Amino acid sequence: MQRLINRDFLAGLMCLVIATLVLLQAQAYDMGTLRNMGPGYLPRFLGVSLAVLGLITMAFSAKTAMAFPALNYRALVCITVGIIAFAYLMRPAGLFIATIVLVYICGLSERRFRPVKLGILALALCLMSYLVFILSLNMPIRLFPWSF
Amino acid sequence: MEILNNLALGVSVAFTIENLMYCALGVTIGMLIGVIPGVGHLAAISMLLPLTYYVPATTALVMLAGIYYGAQYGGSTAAILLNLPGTPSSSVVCLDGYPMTKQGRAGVALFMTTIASFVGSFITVIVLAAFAPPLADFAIAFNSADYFAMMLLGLVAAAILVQGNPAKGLAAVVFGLLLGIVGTDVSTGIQRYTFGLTFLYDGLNIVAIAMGIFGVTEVVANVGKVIQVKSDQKITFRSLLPTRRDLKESFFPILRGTGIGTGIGVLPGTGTSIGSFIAYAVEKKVSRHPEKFGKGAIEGITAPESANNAAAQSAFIPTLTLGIPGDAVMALMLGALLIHGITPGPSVISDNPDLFWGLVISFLIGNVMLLILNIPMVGLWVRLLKIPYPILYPSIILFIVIGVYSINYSDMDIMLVALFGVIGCVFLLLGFEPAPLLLGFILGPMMEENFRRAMLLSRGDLMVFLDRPVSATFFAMIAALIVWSIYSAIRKKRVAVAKEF
Repeated sequence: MQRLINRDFLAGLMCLVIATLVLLQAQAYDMGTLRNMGPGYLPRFLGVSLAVLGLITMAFSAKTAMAFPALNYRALVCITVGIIAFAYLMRPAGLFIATIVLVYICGLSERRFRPVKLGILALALCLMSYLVFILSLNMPIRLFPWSF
Repeated sequence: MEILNNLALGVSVAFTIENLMYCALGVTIGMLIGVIPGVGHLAAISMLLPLTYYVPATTALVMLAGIYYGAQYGGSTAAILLNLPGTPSSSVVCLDGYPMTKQGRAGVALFMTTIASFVGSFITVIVLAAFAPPLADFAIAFNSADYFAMMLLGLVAAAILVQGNPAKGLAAVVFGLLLGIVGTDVSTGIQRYTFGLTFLYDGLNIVAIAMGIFGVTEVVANVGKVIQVKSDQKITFRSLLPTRRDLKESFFPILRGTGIGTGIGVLPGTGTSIGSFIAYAVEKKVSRHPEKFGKGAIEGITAPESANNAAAQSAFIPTLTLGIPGDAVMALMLGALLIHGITPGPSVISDNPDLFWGLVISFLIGNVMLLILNIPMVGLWVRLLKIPYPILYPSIILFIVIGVYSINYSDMDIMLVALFGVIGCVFLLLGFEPAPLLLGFILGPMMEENFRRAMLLSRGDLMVFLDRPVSATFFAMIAALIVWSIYSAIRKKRVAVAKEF
């Protein structure tokens, strides 16, 4: 059992899962005929292909699989959360607050948290993006919650 | 005479203030990210892709291309001084470049790689100008069946050549094709895979995909990796000058490297790394003193450097003439064309001669700029190596999110970046290559359209693909590729080629 849970086996499994989801949703689209293809033709074809490729990958996984690469999960979580927070804050709160929040959340991916350094960096980046995006490129971006 | 007219047109386009400025911007950024380890050209190009919306298509391509070939110059600097490749394609330069630094010949190594890069690029740009237009003229007679077959060949070749496991490479292409389906179906107007979300009606934003998969993923992969920069090399101007022997020993390797790089760059799915690896291997084979390699042989740095620069330029041949991108960078170039409503394909050169010839001339200008940026300013780049990553990566993320937001002022695009960042990390974890995905995403909609048209014209007869000599040839090549990959998988003699991230 342990041998089955390797990198390529999981890769193939992911293909199968996605192929299933794609094919389920494809039922909603008209398939048409080869002569006059409907919107559902290509999704069905791709779903089946993906499933076949997934099965092939799984079948040979015991031979082909290599070890998982090390991934910095902490950085992945912090950066993703930082970006999502930025997406939520950008419109209502403006660039200034969104940037500070983004920089601090991203900064959490380091083992040592340096609030002062991050603060300086955040302020410098705010100034730079204000100069580049708002002042010189004239983008309609809100800077502070009370701006325009 | 026509060629002179075309070149004059190119000069008139490339020498406008705007294009010169963006060319300088592109090559400087390229040089910068090439020098700094942990920031690749793909991340940089995706970061600057939103600027494409603000400038004309030619200007956008001039800048994006500048980043690409500029990074090829910069990549060798860190490789030579610190044994740390700035770009994947310069990792082979470490082999002989770092020993040269230890022998106190860092200046010579930097000088010679710059010259090799320059010569490699320059010759290949001439090849591009000479061969691209006739190739496009030939391809312009293709019908929809031929196009479909050609794009399929491009995708299959990219999928199979780019990574060790052909099934996973093809699966990555299929993921890309599926992402390309999302949005309104052009033929019927039906919403596919939009789940009622209005921001998906126009399809997924290529900038968000590229930024997530290349930018965010790269940052995540590099955070926490402590890069120790201890070297305090003082590069004086005098130490740059090579001896007569260095020049003599580099002459033919540079030409051979250029030839190899040009050939490799044209192929789909190969990229610049493979060119430099093959050039190194060839030099070692033809050398009368193969034992010198790895101990500071000048051929060991000049041949690969000219090869990767040549490959970076010749990759534009299939991209601009056939609309077939060889790697992820070229896919982004096509994306920039699509953003401006230019359909990639053989008619690009005849419909937009100013774009093609302007680009050709800008390559020449850009390479001269890089020569100037490199040789007198080497010391400055060396100092840049010391920018700590903890300062760099929040800045990269911020520029990514503001950049993607600036396209539509849509917070959903920022969400997509986060989503594709996670997808990119899953790809990394499970060993899928991201480049075939992007290729599939770009080519998918065009392929579906051509396939439908071919089927409509042939009344649903699949034999049309084998009746036409052009498409039959492409299908024969696809079959040969698949058979070869199965055969070599069985023989298990596949050599893992360097991964181009």
